[in-house]
Amino acid sequence: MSGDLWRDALTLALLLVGALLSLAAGVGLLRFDDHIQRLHAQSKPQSAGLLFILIGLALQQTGWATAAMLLPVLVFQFLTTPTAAHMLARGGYRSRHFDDAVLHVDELEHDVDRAQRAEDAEQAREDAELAREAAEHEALGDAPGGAAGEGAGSDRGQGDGVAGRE
Amino acid sequence: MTPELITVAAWAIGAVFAVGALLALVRVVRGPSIVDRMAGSDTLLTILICVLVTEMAINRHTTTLPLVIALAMTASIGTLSVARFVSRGRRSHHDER
Repeated sequence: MSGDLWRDALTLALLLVGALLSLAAGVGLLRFDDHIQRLHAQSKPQSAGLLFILIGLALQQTGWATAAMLLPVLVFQFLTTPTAAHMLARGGYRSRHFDDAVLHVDELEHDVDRAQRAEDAEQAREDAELAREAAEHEALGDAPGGAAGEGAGSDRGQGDGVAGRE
Repeated sequence: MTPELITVAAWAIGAVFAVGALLALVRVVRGPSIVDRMAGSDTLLTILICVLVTEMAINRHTTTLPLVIALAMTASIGTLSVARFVSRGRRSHHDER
């Protein structure tokens, strides 16, 4: 510590606030019921707590150069924390790790259902297309002459493709 | 401030951090699903960054600053990859190949 009374007191206060936010994150992680609520408690110290603690460290530094080195830490944390929380919430939603009984409105469900239906329809269309092509090749395979070998060869290829999809 | 007071404050801050990290660790161990465990381990890593910075502030040095920057840059990679893996629950073209 620098020995300057007010600077040290302010630094310790900021560090304590950051530590308390970390504690709040731990308590929230343990006490909240489902995954989405836990994410809410989890992202608090990641941005606010780290901000307070970095200000506390910057107060103890005399030169601007070392204090400026703290800026990338904050920038990277502010960039990556929301991304990670968003991806975790998305994964938790898609794998049904949340309590949907307490949700009054779930607007995402409709969109996810619609996307799933569109994807299924496209898959069915592709399957039908492949089946039609396989049937055509089979019909070609019945023809006599040089076309038979070629048709059988590509028929086997298509057959493998269909089997791989199913 | 007297050195004794600063030492007491440092121990108090460290104790608060330790309890927070312990609670996050309990969630990692207990967490019913993989996403809960990842939320807990993400919190644990952030608390580690905070502890490193706090130690620098109290002892007035910048030795671990490169470590803190590297941790802040890479902390979310593990969380992102696991979340991406979990999100792939739906049937898609890539899953079937």
